[in-house]
Amino acid sequence: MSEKENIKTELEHSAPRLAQLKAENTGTGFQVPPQYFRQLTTDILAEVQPSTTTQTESWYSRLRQQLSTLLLGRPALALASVIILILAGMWFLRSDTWDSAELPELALNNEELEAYILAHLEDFDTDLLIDIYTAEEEENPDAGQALIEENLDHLLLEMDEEEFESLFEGEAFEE
Amino acid sequence: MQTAVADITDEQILALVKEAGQQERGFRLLLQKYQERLYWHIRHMVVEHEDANDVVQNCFIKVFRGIQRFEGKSALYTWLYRIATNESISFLKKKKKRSADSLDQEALQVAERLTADVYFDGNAIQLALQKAIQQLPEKQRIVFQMRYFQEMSYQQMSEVLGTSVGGLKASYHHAVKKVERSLTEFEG
Repeated sequence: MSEKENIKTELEHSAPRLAQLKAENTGTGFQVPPQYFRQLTTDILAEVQPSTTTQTESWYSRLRQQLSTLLLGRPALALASVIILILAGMWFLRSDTWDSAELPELALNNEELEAYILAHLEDFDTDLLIDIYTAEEEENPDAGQALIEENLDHLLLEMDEEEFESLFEGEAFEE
Repeated sequence: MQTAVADITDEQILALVKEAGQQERGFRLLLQKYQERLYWHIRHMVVEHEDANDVVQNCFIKVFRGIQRFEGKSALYTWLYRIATNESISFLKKKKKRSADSLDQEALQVAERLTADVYFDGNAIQLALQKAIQQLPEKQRIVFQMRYFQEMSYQQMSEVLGTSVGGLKASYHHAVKKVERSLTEFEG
């Protein structure tokens, strides 16, 4: 006996109205949209196909695919804007920090400056030298004073008589 | 000559699905063989087409993700029906959480929604039948629709639901009696 017949017999014994309704075979009244099952296959395959591709593709292909997506239309414009903003931000940050952070590395330190001045003493105007040392003294009075005293002998030895006398007559040493 | 989908065995489908480069072809054949049967199984449980459409799609996505690990301990048919049944029950539970209505109120609402549903063109007795089914407790409702509409044997139902054949017979018997009573009262 088939399952269909088993069910029919079962119903005839316990539920004659249900048995009759089933025998009429009028269905349930449920409908589906036209071409529904064809569309369902397409929809489900569309859902699962990206994961099929992902499983078989290498990481390099996936990366290339993602990059190519980024370089299309609106994402590309957004990416370019972000890059420009980052570069502009970096430039501003660098220009802000040059004075305080990078300039000291590029500048001569006191010892190098002193050595350079002593080596090229004839190239400097005496007033300029005094201005330089005075300015340093204002910034760091102790260090400036120490520098002047330490190098005074060298300066005096480098001066000729005329310069030596003019120093005593100059306004810079007036009290 | 191309083989008809109905003639393709589950073993052939499984072999294709697990063969490198043939996964999509195998899955397409599985869809063509089972999607309609599973849709109606789900539709009888969740009633409305839009709900059934969502559930059947989720169901096949899960089938696709899990089929590589399917070891064939049960028949493919049983495994698919188990996933479809679980998906439908989960869906109904989520839906029930959103509304704290009693079985009677739920049945009334289902009847109202069916009347307005463009994908239901049943007559008064078919509507009364659906309303009676919705008033059944969950387990009896599932067993009734699997046997009455899907014409599944108790053995198949037992494999899908993991319940004893005796328990299923008792559930079906109670369900049939309740539905018969509702229909007689409706017509009475």
